[in-house]
Amino acid sequence: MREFASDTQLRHALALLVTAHDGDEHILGRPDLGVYVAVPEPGVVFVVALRDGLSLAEATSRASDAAGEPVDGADFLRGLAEVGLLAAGPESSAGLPTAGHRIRWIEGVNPRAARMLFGRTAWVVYALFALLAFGLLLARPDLRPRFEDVWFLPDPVLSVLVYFPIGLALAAAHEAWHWLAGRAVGVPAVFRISRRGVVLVFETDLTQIVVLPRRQRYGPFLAGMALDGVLLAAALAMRLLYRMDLLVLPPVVDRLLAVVVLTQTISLVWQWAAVFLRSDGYAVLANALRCHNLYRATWLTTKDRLWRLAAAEATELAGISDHDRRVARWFAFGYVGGMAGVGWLVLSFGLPFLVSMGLWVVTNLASLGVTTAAFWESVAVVAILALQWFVPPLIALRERRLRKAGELL
Amino acid sequence: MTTRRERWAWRIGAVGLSSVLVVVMSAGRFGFLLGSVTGSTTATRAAPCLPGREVEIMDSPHVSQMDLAAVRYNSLPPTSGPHFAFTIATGIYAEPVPEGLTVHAMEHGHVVVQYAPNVPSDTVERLRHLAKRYGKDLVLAPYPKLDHGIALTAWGRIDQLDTYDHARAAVFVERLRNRYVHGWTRTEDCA
Repeated sequence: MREFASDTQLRHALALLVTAHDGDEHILGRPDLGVYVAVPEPGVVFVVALRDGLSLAEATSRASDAAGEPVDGADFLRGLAEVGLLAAGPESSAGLPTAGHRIRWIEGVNPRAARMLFGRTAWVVYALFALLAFGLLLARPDLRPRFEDVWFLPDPVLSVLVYFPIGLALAAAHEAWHWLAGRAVGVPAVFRISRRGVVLVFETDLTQIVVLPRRQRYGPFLAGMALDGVLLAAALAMRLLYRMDLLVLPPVVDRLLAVVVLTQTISLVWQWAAVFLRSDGYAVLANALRCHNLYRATWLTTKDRLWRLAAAEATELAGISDHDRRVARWFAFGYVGGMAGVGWLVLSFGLPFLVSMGLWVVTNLASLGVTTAAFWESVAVVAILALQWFVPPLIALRERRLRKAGELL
Repeated sequence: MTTRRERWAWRIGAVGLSSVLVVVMSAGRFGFLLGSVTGSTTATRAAPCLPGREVEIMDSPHVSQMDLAAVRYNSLPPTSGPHFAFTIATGIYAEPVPEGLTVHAMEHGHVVVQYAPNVPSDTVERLRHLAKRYGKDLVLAPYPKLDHGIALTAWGRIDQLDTYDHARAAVFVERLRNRYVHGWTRTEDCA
């Protein structure tokens, strides 16, 4: 153990490791760093023995017994250190990047209360709402969402300004359901603002979920989409009742509900189309396919096919399990298809919207006085556009810098 | 690892897929997406069998609010011509909708029904029922420039009613909705 600054430091790092079983594989992880690796069973035996206070030789002996052949304990420890599992603990990790801003209040939610939202009955209700939404969209073409629904006010700039907080609220609700589902199974979540391709998003980091059996992971992964389905069905049902004169609504509320239908439909389609951006659908599929690092395996496989891999990337791909690499070979088709779909969306709707709205507000700013409401509406839209289109590239640059420095996986 | 020969096959496949994507975006029912940046230009098409009367189609580029103030449309309310880069969602509006938005709605195949401020409230209520029935096809709003009655408009077509006639309005909507979506959608109107 001479490679480590002190025996105390090593013991402290080992104490922070969590272990979990996943079928025939075993997981070693550091929830505080968000780093998890799959190891053979003797590896876990070895770590547990060290954590129990045994010496390196004694722990190696136990691991050798578990393996049925001699193993090199010191070499295994060096491997753990290389992947970052033995990094310093939280009290001395000020220089490490944080995975996001941890939401302390969510950990105060009683798991029993959270479990009521994700019990068997609750999932039946979610499924019924999803069926209702699907049925209404199928049976009533007039209720299906269209992109023009977003212009629901007679002032296009005001439509954007009102839609923006609605979109944020719906995205936050989606993430809140992930948090609560994580809480229901006892997994704390980390919230962050991130990006998916060129889209700014809220994100709930559930990496600590790997300590749970795979069957129990579906709830937290599907929770956001479950809530999207409920809100979609409710909005569609209200619009239908309004059209049938069974519900009285101000017309602007009906149009606002159309915006909710559009937003939730995009959200649900996105989750299954944008698997290449680690969407919820990706998490569900990777879990069902029993993969550990399908995202990197797929990216590296695709890059190898279309371009070529740098030496470090080739080494990384070779280090990923055979199973993940095998799945990545066909999963890459969905990956590339999703890229094409998102590219189509951006070129067909995102870019025309950006050009049109950009020209519109620039003209407003150039010709309207600062005492007019339209001038300040235009200023607000410029701020929103800047946030939506320029922050994702900045986040991408930061991620690239951290990844190069080995501070981000 | 991928061999050189395999890599070229993958590249050709990727370029092929991208090309298909560009073609799909530029043609057929998705062609209007590219046109949505610029507006449209189309010749007037005579169709005596259709309800309402024909209005000559104006050049219909996207313009700013300031530019629109100088535009003189050839009908009241307009049925084509310069308009904003944004459209308006179908539905019922209690307040007037700018002409730059209603013209864009017609360019997307929708029917715009507008009424004078002095139209009785029970007539407005009947118009609202019409708007609910054709929820995805119709924009309903007051129009202060009308001194009386109701104007039914679609791209290049108008019908003016002194009093509400449900059957006439319904036929107008059903025959003219989606007739034009950044271009004529049917080869023949009166076959």
